Amino acid sequence: MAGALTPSGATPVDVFRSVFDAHFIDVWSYARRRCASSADADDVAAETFAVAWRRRDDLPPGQERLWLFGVARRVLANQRRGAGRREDLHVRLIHHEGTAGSLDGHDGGDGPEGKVWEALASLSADDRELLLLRAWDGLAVSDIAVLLECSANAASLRLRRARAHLREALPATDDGRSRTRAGRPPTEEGEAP
Amino acid sequence: MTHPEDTPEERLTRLDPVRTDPAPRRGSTRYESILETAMNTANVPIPMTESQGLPDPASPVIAFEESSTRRRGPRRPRRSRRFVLTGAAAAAVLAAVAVVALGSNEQPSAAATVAEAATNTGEITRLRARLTRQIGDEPKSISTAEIDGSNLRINYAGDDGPTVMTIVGDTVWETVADETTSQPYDEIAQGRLAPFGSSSEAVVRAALHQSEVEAIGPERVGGVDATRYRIRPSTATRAALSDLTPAVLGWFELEHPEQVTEIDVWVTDDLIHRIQVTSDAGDTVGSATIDFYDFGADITITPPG
Repeated sequence: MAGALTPSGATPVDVFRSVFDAHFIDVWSYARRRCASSADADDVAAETFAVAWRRRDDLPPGQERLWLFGVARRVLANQRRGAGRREDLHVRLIHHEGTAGSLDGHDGGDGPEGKVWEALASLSADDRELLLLRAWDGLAVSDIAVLLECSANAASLRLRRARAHLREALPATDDGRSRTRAGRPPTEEGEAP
Repeated sequence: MTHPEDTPEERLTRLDPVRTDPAPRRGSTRYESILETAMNTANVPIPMTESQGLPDPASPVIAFEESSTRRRGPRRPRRSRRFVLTGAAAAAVLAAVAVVALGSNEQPSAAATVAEAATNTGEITRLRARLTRQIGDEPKSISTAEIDGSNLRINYAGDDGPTVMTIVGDTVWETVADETTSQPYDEIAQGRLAPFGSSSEAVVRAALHQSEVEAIGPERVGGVDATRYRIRPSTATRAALSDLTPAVLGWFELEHPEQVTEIDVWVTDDLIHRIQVTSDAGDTVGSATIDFYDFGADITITPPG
């Protein structure tokens, strides 16, 4: 199987290699944003591409990135089920330890970015994931909808609510502009990244 | 630097860990290592001797994870465990079964009694089980399972609170705080669990391979009188256990047979009522206790409503 030629004349290994090259950075980054360390992200990326290699015939042409994100999401979810196995971002947030300082050497809980982390930590997991898919992974609302298996309208609505929740969670003195904006009709819901 | 005009989303962007910890460069050793790992481990069972630490039986489906021990120094590629019952593994299981001789003595030996109980328990497809893990001084973790052949319902303490995992056919549901998610069973990277009853039989039979078996004496287990037997594994025993698939071993905290020091089995009415596996990981001693009850109960596992 692995040695057979595809219609284009490339071997499956060649095809997979090209998929890996095209999407590795996105997949690894997706994992890194949800893991405590780059080593953990390496593991998640390897596991994700192992699934992709095993199921290479199922890779949807042109949609590989989202498909891989979906696999990575499940790999991460499985790992979280191992209680205490990893001090990943999710756990750190829950325990309010997920300040930028503990992750990346930025300022800690008392600084402006620490306040954003705290606000993020106070959100529901769903709200948080929606916001991070948009802000960190740069996914369009339509892509978020595919990944979360909901309609684009639902994803847009949920994202709008998540943004509102984040604005509410940020200290008023720290985010006066954001609170002002919260009262305006959102205009960016359907925008592509 | 936060700008006062930033939107919350823009401020989130600044927290992106990848800004300070980017992906490995294409062509780098790590990059190639991850590709190689992905392509070489997808269908290859990983030798159990490479693993470390004690997995979490409170969540048996994920009990095949590698150690949480942080790696130090140069990273070596992780070799994911895959759970394909290869021909070799199947042959090893059969071999392990074959070598358990019941003996020709008129009085059944302790090993023969335990083996017969294992056989009988292997025929049970519906029952309930309670899995208790104790590692070092950590609090006990307890999960319960309802088993109907390959279909299962497991209650355990997950990261997000009490969690119910339901497995029916090829789908796994996980319910936490009234929210249910599902996914195809074959997409669980850690693999499937084998049916519980037959797993019990396979594990006990492998444990009896070239081991010492001693009758400890009568004890009450789950409200019934049982006889406790202690199995002291030899190197050959551990090898026989290693030949079983993680899908079987995952039920019994046995993914690391090289660490197992004792396996105690409680038998009554020719059925196994409890298995306790004691392991020594060097710096930590742990045990997993699996109680069997409600044999043959009217249990039907259905997807969560």
